[in-house]
Amino acid sequence: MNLKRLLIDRMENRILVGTVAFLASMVLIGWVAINEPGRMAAFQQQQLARSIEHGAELYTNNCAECHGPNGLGSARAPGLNNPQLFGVNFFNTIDTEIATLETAKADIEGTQATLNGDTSTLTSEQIAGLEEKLAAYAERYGEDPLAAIDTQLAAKETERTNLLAQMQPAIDRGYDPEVPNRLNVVGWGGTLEAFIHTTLISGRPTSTSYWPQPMPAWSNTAGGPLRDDQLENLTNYVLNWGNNRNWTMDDLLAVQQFAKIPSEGGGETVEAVAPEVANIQAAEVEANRETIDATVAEVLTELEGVTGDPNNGQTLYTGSLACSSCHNNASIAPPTEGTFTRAEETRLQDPALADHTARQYLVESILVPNAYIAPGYPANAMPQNFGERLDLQQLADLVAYLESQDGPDPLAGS
Amino acid sequence: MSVLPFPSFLDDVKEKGLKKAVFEGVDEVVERLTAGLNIQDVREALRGESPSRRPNPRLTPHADGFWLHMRPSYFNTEMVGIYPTFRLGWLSTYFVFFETITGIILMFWYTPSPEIAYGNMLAMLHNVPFGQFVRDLHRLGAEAMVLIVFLHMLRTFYTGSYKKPRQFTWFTGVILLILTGFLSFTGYLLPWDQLALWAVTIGASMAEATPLIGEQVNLIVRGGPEMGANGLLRFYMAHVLMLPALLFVFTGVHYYKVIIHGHSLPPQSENIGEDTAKRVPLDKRVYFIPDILTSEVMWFAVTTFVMIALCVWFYHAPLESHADPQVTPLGTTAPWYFLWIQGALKLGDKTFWGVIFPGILLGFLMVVPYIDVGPSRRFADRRIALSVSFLMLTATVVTSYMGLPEFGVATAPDQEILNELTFEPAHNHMGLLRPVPFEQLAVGAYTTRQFAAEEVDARAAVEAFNVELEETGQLATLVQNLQSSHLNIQTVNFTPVPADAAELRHVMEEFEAFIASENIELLDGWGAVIITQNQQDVKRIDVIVNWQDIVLENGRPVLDENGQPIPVVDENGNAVRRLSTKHIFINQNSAYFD
Repeated sequence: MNLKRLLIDRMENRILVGTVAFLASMVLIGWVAINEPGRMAAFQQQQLARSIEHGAELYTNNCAECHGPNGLGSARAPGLNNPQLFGVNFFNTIDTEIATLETAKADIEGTQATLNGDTSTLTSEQIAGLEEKLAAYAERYGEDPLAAIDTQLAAKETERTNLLAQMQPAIDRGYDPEVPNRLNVVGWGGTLEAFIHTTLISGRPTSTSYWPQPMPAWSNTAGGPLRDDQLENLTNYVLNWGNNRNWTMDDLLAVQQFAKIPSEGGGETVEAVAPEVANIQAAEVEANRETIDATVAEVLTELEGVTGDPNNGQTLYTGSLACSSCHNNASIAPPTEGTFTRAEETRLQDPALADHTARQYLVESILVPNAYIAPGYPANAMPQNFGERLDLQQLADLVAYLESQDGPDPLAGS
Repeated sequence: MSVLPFPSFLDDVKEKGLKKAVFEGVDEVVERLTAGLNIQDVREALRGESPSRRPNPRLTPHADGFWLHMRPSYFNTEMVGIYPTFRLGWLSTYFVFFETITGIILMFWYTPSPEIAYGNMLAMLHNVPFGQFVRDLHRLGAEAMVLIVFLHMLRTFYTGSYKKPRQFTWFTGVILLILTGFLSFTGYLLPWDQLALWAVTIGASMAEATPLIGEQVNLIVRGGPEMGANGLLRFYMAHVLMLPALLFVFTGVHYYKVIIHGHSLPPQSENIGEDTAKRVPLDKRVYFIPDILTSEVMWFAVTTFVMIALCVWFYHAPLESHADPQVTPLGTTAPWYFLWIQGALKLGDKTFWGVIFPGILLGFLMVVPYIDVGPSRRFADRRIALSVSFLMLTATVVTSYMGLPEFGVATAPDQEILNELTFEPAHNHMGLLRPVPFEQLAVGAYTTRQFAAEEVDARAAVEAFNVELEETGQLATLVQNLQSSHLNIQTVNFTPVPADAAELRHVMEEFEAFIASENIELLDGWGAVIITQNQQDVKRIDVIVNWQDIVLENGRPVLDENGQPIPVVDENGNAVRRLSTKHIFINQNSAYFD
């Protein structure tokens, strides 16, 4: 039979080559198997690193504007490169030491009291044990352990006070040394990663009891611009500020802005324009009508000495005060567009506002939103505390901005 | 009388003794499993001896067994060598099964949804033992299969094997080639990375050019105006169900025809117009059992070994960053086997070059055997056919080259240079700055001016550059530009590249060479790399190209009579300088050097 053309014409050689190839394949697969755990771990690390790089890019393009290029925060958003976010307690060591000293002190005092009291109920072994304990304390703290502990305690307390004093600049920017973990401040029950991720997804509505600046929703699912994988990258980037890091006091002091609750001492201190009319609920308007009228008249007089900048007003309106969140279309509140026209041509026709000027109406509506409820909209819907949040200049800017809204009123005729 | 109340194996034991009964029982089982060969027959076959009983038991499996009934019981010895088949048909079949098996394994780890598909790929790479390995095998097999099927077609053409009576075999073969292309193409999209999205977007955009019903075809293929969740699901279903089903059907038809007509012999072995494939003289027969069978098992083992070895040491399936419809990477191409269409598209009309031209070409391929009806399979008698084939091959090579981004895609040189230095890993390449070791990315500002004139002292050159920037006011523009991209710096002071950062230095030299090579469009240009610390293990690298603006017309520089570009000047007669910047971030653990 002519087998010369088969590449390997002897059968036993074909079988040999096939067997060797098969065994070699098995060896290679074994080789892959041996290296698999290492390869997978390396890939995971590399993948996380690249995810952080993508997150850095997203951060720079989307977040740096408000949270600062280095994540230290600005007046518009709190710092993320921030020991508070990562729950760093700078008092941890010293508080543990103080607690140890206080425990020892209480133990010594208790033991001494027992020995100096009625020892008749104690066996001699128990007494010996207590004396041994005191001896051990004396050996540890010196001849007079109580005095030594007091000295050490006093030193530690001074150290703690110094530490607190060092933190003062951070405290001024909203840091609360007593609750050093941001997650505890907001009562978050999940992980830090989930906190960051979900905040990115849904953003933050503006809230006077939480943080006065709104943060937009970033996730596609919440109507934002980013995909979920991008949010993961961003989360990884933010978390990377805390990875393998020994936080120092300098890091704390570098933070420009902390997330804070303005009503509890944080926030910019403003010379409030009209705190006396803040927080008047709809039901209380009639009882306070005189105060409201007098205050508004006074503010109007003061406003005459101030020039409002409509551009600043717009920044406040669309930015930190987030008025435009509700005043954008007619559904929740009257639209911004044509506000001034509407005030002049519609509102002032209402007998309830018969003696008002347009400016008076605007000022009153900002300071005491419930003083006049626009028809078709509910009472108590607008924040009632602008009287204590705005200073005179800001109010002037806002009014100037609203007065520039003198185009056609979209609500007219409806 | 039976031992048990019914006839059983124990009766045999009683009658013949245990040893003989067991042997006969085993022998019978073997004969049933092999559909005709008993132990003695198998031993003889594997020893290469002639069968000791008649009729030849080695033919029974072909007559009675399922698996071997589709294989011929003997081959012509002319057909068992490397020439004339080069084993390409066999290899194509091998890859059909190879891809099916590896593909089914991969299906366990994959979900066809844009939200999770890419995450699945990452999980496969970092959390599935052998995940990367099987993916590499599948991807390499896919690329190899396209090539092998194409080569198989070429071989069939050049040996004239498509001629009567095998016209229909050729026809089904062209369909198989098209199916292979589409299988590979639909699989391309599934990882849902940038490579996938953009290669497929380009490929699928040709569907849009279909005359009259282009929009409908596009909607049907993508499941929407853009490639999204529906498109991914459609490609997936096509990839794992529709196309494989068609492929199996046509593979069956194709192979049936091959066996019915026999393997066509080398042209010189037959007289012109003769087809003797089915009449194999006794002395030229190589029986399937045992010679072809052992040979095929050997080839199977060797080919598999080669694939495994390639995937262990040489080949890893690419995975780029997550698909992003908003970001078009520079230099996007269709998969290589569709480059010829992409190239043809650059010739002009989208409908003609993207749909009609490939349609005519493939249609022509299908009907070649019905047009070329000359009886002779010898080269000398097939001058027209061979000339046409060389023409088409040349056209394919040329249009494929034209499909590359290097051909006819004008990109501004500054953008090209920035991209060259920074681009993310793609097509197994990456921006020059990425593989620079992390510790060599020393924080600081470096300029190509250091390398512009080698004889000048580096420190002096950089100092002069600092002074020049300061005096011409370029520094302020630069700082402002960097700050607007949120780089936290107040000023920039350039220094020479540190002596121990050899690779960074090398990149800066390349950078200088790039700028120098574009000295017309980037008149008096300089480049800079500014490295800053971003996080404790992340550095930010800003790359800057700065040049003197010149007069352009249709994107091309206008030259004066000396062949020099004409600088743009402002109202004070001063040169106007322009700058482009791009930044990337590098993490210490990104391991780009791999």
